[in-house]
Amino acid sequence: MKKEDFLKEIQDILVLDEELNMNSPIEIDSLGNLMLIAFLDENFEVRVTAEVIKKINNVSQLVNLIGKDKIID
Amino acid sequence: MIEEYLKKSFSVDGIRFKNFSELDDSESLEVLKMRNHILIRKNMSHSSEIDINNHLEFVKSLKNKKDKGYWLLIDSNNNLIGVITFSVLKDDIAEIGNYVNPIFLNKGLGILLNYYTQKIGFEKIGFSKLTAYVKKTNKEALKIHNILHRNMIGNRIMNGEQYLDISFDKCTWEKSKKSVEKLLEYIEF
Repeated sequence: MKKEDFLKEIQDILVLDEELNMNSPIEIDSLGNLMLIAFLDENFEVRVTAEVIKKINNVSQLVNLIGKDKIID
Repeated sequence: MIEEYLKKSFSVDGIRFKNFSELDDSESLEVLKMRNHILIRKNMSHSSEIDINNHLEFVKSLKNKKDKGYWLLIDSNNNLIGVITFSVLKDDIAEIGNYVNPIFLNKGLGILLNYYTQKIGFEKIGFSKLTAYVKKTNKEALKIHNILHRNMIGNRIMNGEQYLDISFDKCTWEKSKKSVEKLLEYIEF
């Protein structure tokens, strides 16, 4: 997935006003957690638990979870 | 038809919807415990604690109220998931409410309860329109309602707090149903 599309998806999922970059900190509530789990599975075939998502606090950690090679500049 | 359903218990998708008119006292007290939890009642319009006697009296009174349907949702492992409520406003229009069992907070169950409120409301009971008013501070509920394609009706202020008036109809339900069902597959609790 293109980086800009990925960042836009995360912004929409977390209902954030501000645009994200790869280093942006993120706060994930329980609905965002559920939606991220679904997003990662459907788009990257990465199955994670809610506990894993709870530990994420910035975009780069999320990218590490998916695999850096899956996000294209 | 609508009146009849408001007092029935039934099962849908493996979840038991136990009508409040059939709750025993221990189940009623479990409901009270959920309802009185600070993280639940803070989002309600009547956010003060309800005492046991008033609660038991209210639950009993529901048996004779033809315009109200309240259900306790119980899953196949006998977990009490939460409560959904309907109050008929006019003909086939109802005001809805729901709350999650606080022991399952932060598991994403809010969307499940909202999904079943609409599924039962539109598909089982046969309402054509469902309305709700939500505190502006209840961000998670507002996000869920957004996913469910709610219509904005207006604003109101009650007891100094701001609320949004919203509604759902069969069209919004059909639009959001499939995507919400996909999300529900990922809920773990």
